[in-house]
Amino acid sequence: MKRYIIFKAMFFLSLSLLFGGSLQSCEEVIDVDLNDADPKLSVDAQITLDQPALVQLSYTSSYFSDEEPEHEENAIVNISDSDGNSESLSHIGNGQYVGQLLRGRVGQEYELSITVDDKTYKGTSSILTPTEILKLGYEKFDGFGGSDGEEEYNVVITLKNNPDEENYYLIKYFLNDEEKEDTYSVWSHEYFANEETIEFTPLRFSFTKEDVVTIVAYSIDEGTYDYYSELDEIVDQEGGSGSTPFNPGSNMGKDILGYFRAWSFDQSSFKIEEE
Amino acid sequence: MDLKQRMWAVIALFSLVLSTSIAKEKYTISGEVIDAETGEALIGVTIYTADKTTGTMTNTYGFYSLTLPQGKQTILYSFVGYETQQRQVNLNSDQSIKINLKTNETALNEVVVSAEKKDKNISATPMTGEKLDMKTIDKLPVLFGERDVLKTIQLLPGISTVSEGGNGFSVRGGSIDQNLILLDEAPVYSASHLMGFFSVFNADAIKGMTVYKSGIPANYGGRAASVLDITMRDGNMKKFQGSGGIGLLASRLTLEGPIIEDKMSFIVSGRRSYADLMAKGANQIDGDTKMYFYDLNAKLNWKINDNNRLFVSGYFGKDDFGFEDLGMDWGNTTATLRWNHLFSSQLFSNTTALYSEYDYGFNFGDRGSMSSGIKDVSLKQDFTWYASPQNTMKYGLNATYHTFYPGEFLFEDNTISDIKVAEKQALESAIYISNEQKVGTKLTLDYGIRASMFNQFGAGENVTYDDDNNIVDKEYFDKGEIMKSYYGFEPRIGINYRMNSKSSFKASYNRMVQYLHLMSNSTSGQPTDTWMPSSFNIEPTTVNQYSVGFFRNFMDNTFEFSAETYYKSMNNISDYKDGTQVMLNEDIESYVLQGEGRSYGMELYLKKKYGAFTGWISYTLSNTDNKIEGINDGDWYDSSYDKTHDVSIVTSYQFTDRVSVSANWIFYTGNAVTFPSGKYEFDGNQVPYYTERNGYRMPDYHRLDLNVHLEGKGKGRFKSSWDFSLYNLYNQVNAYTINFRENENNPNVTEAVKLSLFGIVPSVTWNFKF
Repeated sequence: MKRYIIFKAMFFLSLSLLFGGSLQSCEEVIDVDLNDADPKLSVDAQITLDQPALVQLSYTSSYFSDEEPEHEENAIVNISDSDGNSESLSHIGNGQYVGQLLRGRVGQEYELSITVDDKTYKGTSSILTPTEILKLGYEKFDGFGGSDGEEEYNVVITLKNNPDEENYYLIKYFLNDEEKEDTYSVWSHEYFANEETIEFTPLRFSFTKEDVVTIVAYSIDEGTYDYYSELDEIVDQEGGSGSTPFNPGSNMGKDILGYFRAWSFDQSSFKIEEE
Repeated sequence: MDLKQRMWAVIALFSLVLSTSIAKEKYTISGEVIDAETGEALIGVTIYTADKTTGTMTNTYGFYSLTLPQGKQTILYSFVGYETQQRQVNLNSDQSIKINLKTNETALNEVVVSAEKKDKNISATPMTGEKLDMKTIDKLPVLFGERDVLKTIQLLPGISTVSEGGNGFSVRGGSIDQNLILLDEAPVYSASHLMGFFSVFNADAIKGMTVYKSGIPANYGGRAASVLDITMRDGNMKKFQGSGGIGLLASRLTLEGPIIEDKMSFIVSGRRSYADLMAKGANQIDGDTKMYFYDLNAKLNWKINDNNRLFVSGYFGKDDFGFEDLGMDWGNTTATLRWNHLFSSQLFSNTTALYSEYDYGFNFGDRGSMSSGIKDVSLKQDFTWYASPQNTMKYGLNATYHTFYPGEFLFEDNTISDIKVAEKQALESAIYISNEQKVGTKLTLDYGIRASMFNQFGAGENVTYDDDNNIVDKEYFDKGEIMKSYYGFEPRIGINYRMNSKSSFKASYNRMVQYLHLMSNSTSGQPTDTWMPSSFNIEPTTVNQYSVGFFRNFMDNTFEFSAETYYKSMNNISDYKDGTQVMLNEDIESYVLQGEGRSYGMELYLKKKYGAFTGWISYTLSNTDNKIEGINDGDWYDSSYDKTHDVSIVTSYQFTDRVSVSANWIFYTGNAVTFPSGKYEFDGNQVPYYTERNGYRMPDYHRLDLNVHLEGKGKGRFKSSWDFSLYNLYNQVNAYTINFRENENNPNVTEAVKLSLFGIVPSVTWNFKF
C-alpha cells in the first residue's frame, strides 16, 4: 500500500502544475487570528551511524511567533541498544541533550527514553544496512509548459540496495550552499524490484545548469518512513488539495510531538558539466 | 416486525385506504398536454375543474388522468408561460383528451394579471420539491457565458455551494455524495466540468428539473440528502429547428426536429469549450496544452400510438487536461431507454433500462497511468395508478448492478509492480409503494415506504483489520457469492394542510438509506474521488429528516413566501483516520471512521414571480455537526458542510421587450476548517501543531454577478440575442484556500497564505435560434 507515494508525488505535482498554470489564481500572505494552544512537548531526536545520540526537547509556540521556543532543560534522557548497552545523555543547553559513548551501529535497535516531570516517553528505531550513492546523473525535465525559458533538469539517482531487507530511503535535495534542503522525498523498497541497485528520478526536485546539487540519501526504517511521509503531507501543502491536516504520529507516544529516528546516510554533490 | 411483516402491513393499509374511495358513477379523462408549437410534452401542468375542487398535474411525460363524476364538467389546463385552456366535457364514458397549450409570450413580463392560476404553490401537488423550468434559469446571470442548472439550485434556500470551483453542493448539511442527480432517470456520478466551474448539463438540452430536499417521494432512493431530477427535452415534433451560442469559453449547438411529424422527434445537442485555444492565441500557454471539455446529449422520442411511447436518450461528456504527454481526463456516459405504456386511462406504466458510467484517468506519459470509475446497469418498473380523484398511487421496483473500479496504477517500468485495488460488485434493489391522498378539500397526505436491499457480491475478500490497519483475517468469496447484505426500511410521509387560498402548512418525515460512499478527503470534491459500496467494514449511511414549513402567497399572488425548518439525524457518516491516503489505497476500508451527525436549520424564501421586476431572496440559518469516534477526541465538531448563514439575492429587471438586466448577490459563512494553534520544529521544518478539528472558519464569502441580456430584432425565423456578464463585479478577493507554511526566504518565519481564484471575469455570448 505504500507504493501510493510514488504515484501520489507524481500526481499532486502534476496536478498543481496543470492547474497552477491554467487557473487564474492569486496568492497573498494574510493575517489570521489563531489561538495559542497549551505548550506541548516536542522531540527531535536521532542517532546516526558511528555518531552519538542527539536529542532536542522543546515546547510548541504560537504559530506566528518568530522567537525561540521554550526548551525542556530538566529532562532525564537515556538511550540503549539491543545488545543491552545504555547511556544517559547530558544537557548542553537550550534543551539539547547529547551522548558520547554509545554510537550508532548497523543492525541495532535503539530505545530512547525521556522523562519529564515524572512522565516517561519511550520509542524505538533501527539502523538498517547503510546505502551508498553509486551514481548521480540528470535528465532534461520535460516540463509541463509555462516555464520561463530556462532549461530545467531532474536528477537521476542510483543507490545501493540490500535486497534481503525491508528498507526505506529518505532523500534530501540541497541547492548550492543552502543550509536547509530544497525539498525531500521518501522511497520504499516496495517501489523497486529486489535488486542490488535501485534507480529513480524524483520529479519534485528540479534545478538549472548553474546549480550545485547535493543529494543526501538516508537509509531509514519503516517507522521513520511513515513519519516523514506524514510530515510531508502537512508541511509541504500544495495549492489546496483540501485534505484535513493532522499531527504526524510520534514513535515516542501520543502525548508528545516529533520523532526519534536511527539512521545512516551517504552524501554526494554534482554540477552539470558544460559541453 | 421483520421486513416482510412490515411490508404486508403497509400493503393492507393501502388496500383499506383505496377501498373506502370506491364511489358512484365516475369516468376518467386522460391524455397528454403538449406545447402547441413544438409538440414537447409539458411537465407539471395543472388540470382542475372550474369549481377548483378536483385537480391533478401532468407527470414527467406530460400525462394526466383525472376521474370525475358523470355529467357536464368544465376543465382548465394551466401552466406558467402558457395560455390557460378551458374544455367543456359531457362525461358519459372514459375520454382521452390531448391538449395543445400555446405559449403566452408576454405573460412573464407584463404586470397585468395573467390567466394563470397563481396560487399554485399553495394548492398544487407535488407537495415537496422545487420545480425550476428553463425560463427561470434563463433570466439569471450566467457564469462565463453558460447558463447552469447546478449553479441555479445553489441559489435556493437549504442548498449551498461547498466551495468556489468545487465539484459539488451540499443540501441541508449533507455531504456532496448524498445528492442523487438524475438525467432522464440515469444517475450522474460527477456533475461537473473544469473542476466544477461548469456543470455537465447543457442548458439547451434540458426541459426542466425538480429538487427535493425533504419529503422525498418513495420512488426515489439511494442517497441520503436530496434528489435533483433533470429531464432532457424531447425534441420538436412539428418542425426542424436549431439553436446555439458562441461564447468566449465555450460554444454550443442544438438541432431538433420531427422524423415523422407528431410521431417521432429527435434532439442532438453538443457543446465544447475552447479555453485552451484562446489561451494559446494569447500565448499564455504552450502549444501542446490541452484544456477543454465537451458533451453531447441526444434523444429520440417516438409516440408509437396513444398508449405507447418510447424514448432513447444519452449523454456523453469528457474533460481533457494535459501538457505534452502528461494529462488527465474524466467523464460520464449515460444511456436511458424508456417505454411509457397506458394499461388503462388510470394506470400509467414506465419501464426503464439504463446505463451510467463515470471514469477517470491520469496519464503520466512514459511513466505510467492510473484510472478509476464506476459502472451501473439498471432496470426499473414504475406504475402510477390514478385510482380515484382522491388517491394517486405510485409503486414499482428497481434493481441496479454496480461495478466499482476503485483504481489502478499501471507503471510503464516493468520492474515496479502495478497497483490494483480489487474491483467490487453490488446489487442495489428496491420496491416502493406510495399514495397521495386528498382528504376533503384542505388536506393532502402523501405516504409511502421504500424497502431497499444491498448485496455486495464476490469475487472478493472480506478483510478484518486491527486498530492499526493491519490485516487480521481474510475471507474469500467466489464470483457471485454474497459477501455482505444490508436492508433498509424507508418510510416517507408528507402532510399538506391548506388553510385558505393563500396559506398552507406542510410537514414531512423521510428516512433515507445510502449504500454508496464517495471516498474523498476533500470536502469540495475532485474528479479523482472514487465510489465504494457499503461492505463488510463500511455500513450504509441512514438519515432521518423532519421538516415543517409555512407557505403563503400575497399581493394577489405576486409574492410567494415560505419559511421552513428541519432537523436531520445522520448515522454512519464517514470520515477518515488522520493522514489517510484515499486514492489507490487497497485497505481504505480500515481507514474509514463512521459516526453520527446532526443538522438543523431554518430557511426563508421570498420570491416575486410577476412583473417587470422579478427575483427572490433566500436565507438559510443552519448548524451541522458530527461526532465520530477517533476524530476530535470523540467530541462533537462542526461539519465541513456547516454554513451558519447562507444568503442569495437574485433579481431580474425587464427594461424593454429587448433589454433585461439581472444580478445576483451571494453571501455565506466560511467553511469550518482546521488551522494550527501552534508550531514546533522538527529536522529543520516548522511543523504546524493542530488541536481542534474544524475549529476555525474560512473568511466569509460574497460576490455580485451581473448580466445584461439583449434580444436581437427577429428576422423571419432567425432570432439572436447577446449576453454580457460580469462575474464577481466588485472584484472581491475570496479565499479558496488558506495554507500555513514557512516563508520561502526565511524558513524560521511562518506565514498564512491565502489563495483565491477569480477576480472580476467578463464574458460575452451570442445566442441564436432558427
